[in-house]
Amino acid sequence: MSIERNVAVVTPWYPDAQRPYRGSFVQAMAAAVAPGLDRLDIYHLDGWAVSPEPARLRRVRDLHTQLLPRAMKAAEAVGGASLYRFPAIVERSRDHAVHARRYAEWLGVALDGRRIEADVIHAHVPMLGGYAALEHCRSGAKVYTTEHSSFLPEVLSQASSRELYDEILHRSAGSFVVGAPLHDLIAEVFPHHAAKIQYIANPIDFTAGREQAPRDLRRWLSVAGLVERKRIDYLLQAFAECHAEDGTLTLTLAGEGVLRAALVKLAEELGISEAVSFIGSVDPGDIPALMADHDLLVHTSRHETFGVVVVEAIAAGIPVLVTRSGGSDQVLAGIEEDAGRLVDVVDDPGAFADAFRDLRERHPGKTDLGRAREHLRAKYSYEAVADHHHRIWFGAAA
Amino acid sequence: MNLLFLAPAASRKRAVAVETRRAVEDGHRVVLIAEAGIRRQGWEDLDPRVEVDWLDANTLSATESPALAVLARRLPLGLLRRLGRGPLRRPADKVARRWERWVVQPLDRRLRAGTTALREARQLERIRARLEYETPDWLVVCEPKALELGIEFLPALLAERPGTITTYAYEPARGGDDAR
Repeated sequence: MSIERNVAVVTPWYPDAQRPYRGSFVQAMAAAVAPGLDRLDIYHLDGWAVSPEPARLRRVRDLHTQLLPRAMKAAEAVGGASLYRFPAIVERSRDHAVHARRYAEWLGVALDGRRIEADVIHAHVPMLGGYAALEHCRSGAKVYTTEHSSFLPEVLSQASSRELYDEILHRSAGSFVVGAPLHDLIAEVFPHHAAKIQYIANPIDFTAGREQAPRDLRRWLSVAGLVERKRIDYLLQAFAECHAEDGTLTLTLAGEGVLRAALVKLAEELGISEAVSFIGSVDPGDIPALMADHDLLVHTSRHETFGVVVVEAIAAGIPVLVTRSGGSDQVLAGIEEDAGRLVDVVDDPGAFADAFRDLRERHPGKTDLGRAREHLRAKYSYEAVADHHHRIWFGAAA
Repeated sequence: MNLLFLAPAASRKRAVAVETRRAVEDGHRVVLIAEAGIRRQGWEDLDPRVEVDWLDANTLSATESPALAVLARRLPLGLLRRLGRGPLRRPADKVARRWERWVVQPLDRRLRAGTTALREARQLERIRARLEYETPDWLVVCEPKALELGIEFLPALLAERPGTITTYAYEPARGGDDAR
């Protein structure tokens, strides 16, 4: 007799009409794991901040309690999954434990007293998806969590959140992270759970890609938000230095952010406006083609939980020139020379420019993108990531 | 069906544009009550077939009396600034900081609360006026502010018309709209 494979995903991030790219890695994970499952239900709890004024808050909560069960209908999602999307009302608060408890509470209201039916629940972001899943799983169900949050240090700096996070780790059947920085942080704060924290990858599309590696690294591409952490100002300065030596170089900046106007101005001041294109946000589905249309991925982030763009670039068949931001180092471990070049996170843009000169000398003779691609495909392709999840959920027989 | 989208703060413009277009293309009549904002910025993608009631509540702001502005803000702070240019810089800065904290900030808070009250009154007035002659089959509560304002009229509306569909987005349900 075969046992049904019913899985639920609980997540605070999932693409929607307002933010079509937010949580696209959760959508990719769902698309990867859906084949081979009998049923996949996705619960997307979207945080809505409301006034903390007690009298109003009470009335808003009463109204939401009345409306939520009426609104709970499944929409069609990737891989034939059912998507249940609803707002989790949270009074404006900096206390992450408050957010966690509210998410759990509203999932309970949405389920109208029932439990999540699946035997396996995989929750994204332990504090939000994880705690909600643990509070509403049925007896005997296994709850796994994956941590992606770049704001985890702030969460764990709060005593109440730390205590709740400890409880979540304790109650979860398995706890996963997408990169070494998150692993190290959790292991440091909760040494008693260190052995429980394992790696899991976000799936990357390896089906498309350039047939030939680029010959000359002239067309640079950055896929990153225009925010301080990504250090696009530093990238522009490094690019300006290289552009002064080779006027045929171009730089495409894919991404949006609060620094856009300041960065456009900086490009003007550096005299590289004509060589730099700000193309705004790009649909995740269009990223592989965009990458394949360039010669080099450049990434100057200070800190990353996972080097997703690095994997995407190599999957698309272009080398990378990236900073040691945590996630990138881990992704390129053992294939750094083949895939491109890593650069230390330093303030001097000249270091990045020097690294470019070095890579340009080595490429393509002393790089091996094919080998790097196959190395990463074994870890990050949809098939590999699906197989990993299925083995975690259903054992070696999966 | 008659759909009414409520977006009084216009905090999810992109979603509203996408979902209202989707609803129109599904053959529904769509009315949107939304904040226009400055020169309707961000609303460029709205489908012209959507009937819109612009709220223009953001044009309203609470004001304080000129006498209060002079006596509580300009005069004391100007005086302290002038004193701060001389040898009394430290004590003057200290007093100015305290004045800001104990006098100016509470006044600012009062102004903000007054502005919120004015705007909410306008928003509610317009929504209620529309609901006087509009009988939506389906209400889409698009954003947190719609829910916060909804406490003033939604419970009564649903008690009167319990068959009204209410959702937080317009997304095609599995099995079509009948599944709702």
